Amino acid sequence: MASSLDTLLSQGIEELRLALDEAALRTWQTRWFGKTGEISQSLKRIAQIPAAERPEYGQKANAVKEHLQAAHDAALLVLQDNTLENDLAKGGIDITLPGRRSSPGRLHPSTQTLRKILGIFGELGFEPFTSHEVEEDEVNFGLLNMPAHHPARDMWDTFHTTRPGWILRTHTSPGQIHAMRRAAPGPLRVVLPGMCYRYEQITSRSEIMFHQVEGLAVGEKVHLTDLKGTLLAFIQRLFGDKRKIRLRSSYFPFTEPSMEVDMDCILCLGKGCGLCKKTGWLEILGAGMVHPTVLKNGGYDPETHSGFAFGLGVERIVMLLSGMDDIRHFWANDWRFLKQF
Amino acid sequence: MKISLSWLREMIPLPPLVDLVARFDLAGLEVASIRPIGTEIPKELLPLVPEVGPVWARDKVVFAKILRIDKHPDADRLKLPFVDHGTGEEKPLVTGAPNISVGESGQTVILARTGSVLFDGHSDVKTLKELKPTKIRGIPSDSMLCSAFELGLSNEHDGIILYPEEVPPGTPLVDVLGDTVVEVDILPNMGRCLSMLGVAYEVAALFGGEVCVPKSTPEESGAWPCQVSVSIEDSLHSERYSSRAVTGVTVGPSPAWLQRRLLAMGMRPINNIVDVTNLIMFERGQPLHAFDLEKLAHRAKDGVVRIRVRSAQEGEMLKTLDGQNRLLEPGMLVIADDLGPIALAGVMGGFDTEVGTETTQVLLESAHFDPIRIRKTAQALHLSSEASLRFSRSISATQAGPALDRSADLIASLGCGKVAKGIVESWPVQHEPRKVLLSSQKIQKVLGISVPLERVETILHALRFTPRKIRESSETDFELEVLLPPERLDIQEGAVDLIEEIARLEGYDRLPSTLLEGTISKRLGNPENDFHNRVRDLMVGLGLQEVITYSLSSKDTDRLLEPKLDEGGADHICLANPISPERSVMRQSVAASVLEIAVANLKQNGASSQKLFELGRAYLPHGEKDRPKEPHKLALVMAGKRTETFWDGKPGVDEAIDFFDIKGVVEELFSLLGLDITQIRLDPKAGKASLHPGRQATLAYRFQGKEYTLGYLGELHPRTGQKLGHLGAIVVAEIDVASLRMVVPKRFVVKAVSRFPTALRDVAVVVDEAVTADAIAKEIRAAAGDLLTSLSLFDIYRGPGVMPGRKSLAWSLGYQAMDKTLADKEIDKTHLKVEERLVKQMGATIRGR
Ligand SMILES: [Zn+2]
Repeated sequence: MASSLDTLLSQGIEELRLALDEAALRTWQTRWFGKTGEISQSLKRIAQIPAAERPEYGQKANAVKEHLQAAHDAALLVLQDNTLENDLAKGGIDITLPGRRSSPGRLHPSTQTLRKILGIFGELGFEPFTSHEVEEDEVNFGLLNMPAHHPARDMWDTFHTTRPGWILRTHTSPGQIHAMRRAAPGPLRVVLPGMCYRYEQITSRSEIMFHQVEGLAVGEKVHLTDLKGTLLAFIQRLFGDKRKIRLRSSYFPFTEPSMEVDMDCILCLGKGCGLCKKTGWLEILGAGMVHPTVLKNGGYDPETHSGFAFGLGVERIVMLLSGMDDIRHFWANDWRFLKQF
Repeated sequence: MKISLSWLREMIPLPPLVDLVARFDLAGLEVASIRPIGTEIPKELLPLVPEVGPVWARDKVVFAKILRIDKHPDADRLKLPFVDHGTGEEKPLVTGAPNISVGESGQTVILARTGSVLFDGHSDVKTLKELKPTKIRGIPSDSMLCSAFELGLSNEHDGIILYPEEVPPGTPLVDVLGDTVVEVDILPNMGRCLSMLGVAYEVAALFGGEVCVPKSTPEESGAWPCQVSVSIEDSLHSERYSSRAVTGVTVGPSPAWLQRRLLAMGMRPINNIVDVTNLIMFERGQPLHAFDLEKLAHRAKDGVVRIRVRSAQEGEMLKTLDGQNRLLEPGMLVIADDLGPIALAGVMGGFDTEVGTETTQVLLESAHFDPIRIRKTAQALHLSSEASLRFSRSISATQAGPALDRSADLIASLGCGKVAKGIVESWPVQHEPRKVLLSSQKIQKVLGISVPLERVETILHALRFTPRKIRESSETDFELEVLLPPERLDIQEGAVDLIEEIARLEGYDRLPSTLLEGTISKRLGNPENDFHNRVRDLMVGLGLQEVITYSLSSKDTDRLLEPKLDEGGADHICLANPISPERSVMRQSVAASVLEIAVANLKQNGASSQKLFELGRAYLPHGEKDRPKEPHKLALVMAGKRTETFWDGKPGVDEAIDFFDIKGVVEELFSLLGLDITQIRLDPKAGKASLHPGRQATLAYRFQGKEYTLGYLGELHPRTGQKLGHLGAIVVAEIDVASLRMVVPKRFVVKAVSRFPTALRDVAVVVDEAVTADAIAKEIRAAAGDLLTSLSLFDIYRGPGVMPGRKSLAWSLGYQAMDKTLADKEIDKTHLKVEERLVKQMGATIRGR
């Protein structure tokens, strides 16, 4: 009887070898392990076996059952692995097809650069102060030490409104007056960002509208050396820590002394190229010590207080950083231009 | 200001050009350009040279004298002059120049030897060419006689130069005619450098050296030919008027050197008298004028010339030198005699008293005029001249005398006339010499460094200030009283002006760099700016591109979206001097400007979709008395494809942006800002004629029991779209940023998330077409109460199974409790309540029930 179990085992293994897919395996499973399957049948046969042989027969029958089950499970695993391998082999894609991209928004290049600038000055302790764009002639010029018919007014071509005495601010400097009047006589450190306007023809080099950022510090211990240090720190943060600056004497009615600030050319590093017009220097900022009259107009006593101020054009910085050569791109907002930033 | 270096060199020794330019640049005399006249410019300065001309080599381009002229043996047209060119040998030359003849012997000409590089005389364009030995019709020729074109002195091909004065043969041309003209931009406070002498003083201060001031004492002879009196009637605007008479005048061309100087300064020579006055103006910065004294005397009835400096009277006319009759206005300063105005003070002389070839007596004028008067007059008459430029920069009255004497002396020494004895002048307003106190403490306060006394004194002396010590405790603790030279009218403020001069001459590069000391006690930050940045970032995150458009716009553009603007008069801030009609007003609609950009990108720039926003200002006049308002607006414009079609074909090409795209962006923005989007109120009656009548809404928000109007959104009216030439749907929105900021909760409280499962139930609600989704949602929320944690509409159906005129809206409801897993019974009960309420309140039927 026991030998019939051996035959059963080898028969089961043989049939299992012939089951080549999962469906055949399921048929095998039913045929061997189903309610009326071979295993059940052989277990039922235990009744016909002499009682003494029964335990041995039972043990052996169980061993056969376990053996066949294990063989089945192993065969199933192999089959599943094969199926997966097949699927994977067929499931390859052309990974060079374009990715599914969302169309993200972007900040306008002026905003991006303005933020960088304000961020650097923020770390240096300057808070942003915003002011009016439609401004009184008196604040834009008069209180900044340029009374009516002052020759320096020629430095700014001005848009006038039809309301007498009101103009579009030509620089952010009138904001100095508003900021000082808010803080005086306390110490003050602000940056004044915003749109300014110049009556000009629109060309690749000149625009009627541009962002300016102006800085202003007033206190009892504010010196020209601090102005130089602050601007050097700013320029090195924005353009790299190797940058050098140079101060050239200049003139603004609202500062005294006044100067232009150049930085060594970011392209040729001072050797001279097209960007710096072969001079090795790029003009970046106008700056100076706040004129005593302006301090007075802002509510400070020029005997006890001094201040420095500086101003720069945001679009000019964008152009320097990005190699743009036509300022008209900024407000034309051509999507092909904007998507590059 | 053009600076002729050959002229400047007569007043002060000059450093090498490279050093001069570098130091000028740093010291506030920015060099704009350099024009060489036969001179060589160092390579590093070439970028400043707009036009490179020939360099006249000293040994190759020289003066020569024609000894005799033979005919060419083989060619009638060619001439064979023999010249002395300073080497002792006679040199034969072949030339085709038509303007020399045998009679020309003795004539001074300019000879270029082999190897000279000059402009090619046979070319119309200026091309440099080296002169090579050649043979012309058998006769060897290794030099040539030069034309002004070849030498780079003229643009015309007009024959060889026959030099009007004798120059020893062999003299290098560059020694006589060579020059370098440096053009410098003069800053408003550097008016003193609008003169050669002023520049010379500046060079002396920067580089050292003694300035050689040309002599200015004329030799006087003879009396005045007629009686002249001078009176200043408007002494507020003229402090001094000085005059001299010159008799026995012969008017003719100026000598060559004088003409050359004027040409170098960019001024055309006229005649010796006028040229001298102009030359002295350039030399000293003091403009002068010359009247024909005989003509003046002729005008005076009693033979007494009474010169008056006064304000023009209403209706007065003056024919100016340029032949124009000009109507004068009160406030313009004139020089007048008994008959009326004879010159526009400081701006232009009169035609009737002009110096001409017939003139034999001259009255020279040297005066002070008020800078603002001159500036206003020059602007009003559009007459800007070298004289008015200088007067409007302020000239000290003390300068009038020396300039007058200098010009009289020069006229006399040129042999053009005799200077009559004495000066006739009026000088009613005289100023005390001005003094400024300067302390070491002030220098330290402004500059941040201390400058030793000795250095301060050296600098002040170099700039012709006179410092006097009033306190000296140490090298770095002192006080000075500084006497200002009268011409330094730019020193207005006092000590800081002098400190600027000290820093300028010391050089800013020698200052150390430091950072500010101390802290700001109270920093307010800028929450408004921070909010703008937050909104911009959120918009970018929502897939919109930021644009910045012109705040200068037109009424037409604004009316694209705000057609009611300017209906009852002017609502806009208008420009008095717009550059174009498109940029003539300050915009009130930011969305309209963005709309134009979107259309331009779609129509002209090949974009398939536009999702744009701008956070910028609108400009409102806000009454006659008040400051205009400049509220920030958030403008959104979307049009074109919703998403780019992918290569798998999804989504279809027809998926165009519609109203719900912009509404979705607005809702998402609100949600990201922490607002409760169930509190958004859209009123369909926005009443905007520019928008689709059925697809527009006023945007409001309920916050703390109040409803705030924030803006509008909608689809463009097809007719507005047509006006722009765009046929697809365009959706726009504009939100007032300050109002939006007001409803953003100051404090953000997070809601707890339940640990228990959510049970989903659907309901399909069939209602009349007129019932809005919002109304249904409200009823659902009211009925379900707190257990309802999510509600979304997932389908709208019209068709079989739903009666015509009705629609079915399918909602998915999520039920969840904070404290337990909801039992089916509880959920069923609540859901039933929802259905019953919908049936009762909305006249709904529930599908599938
Ligand atoms: Zn460069």
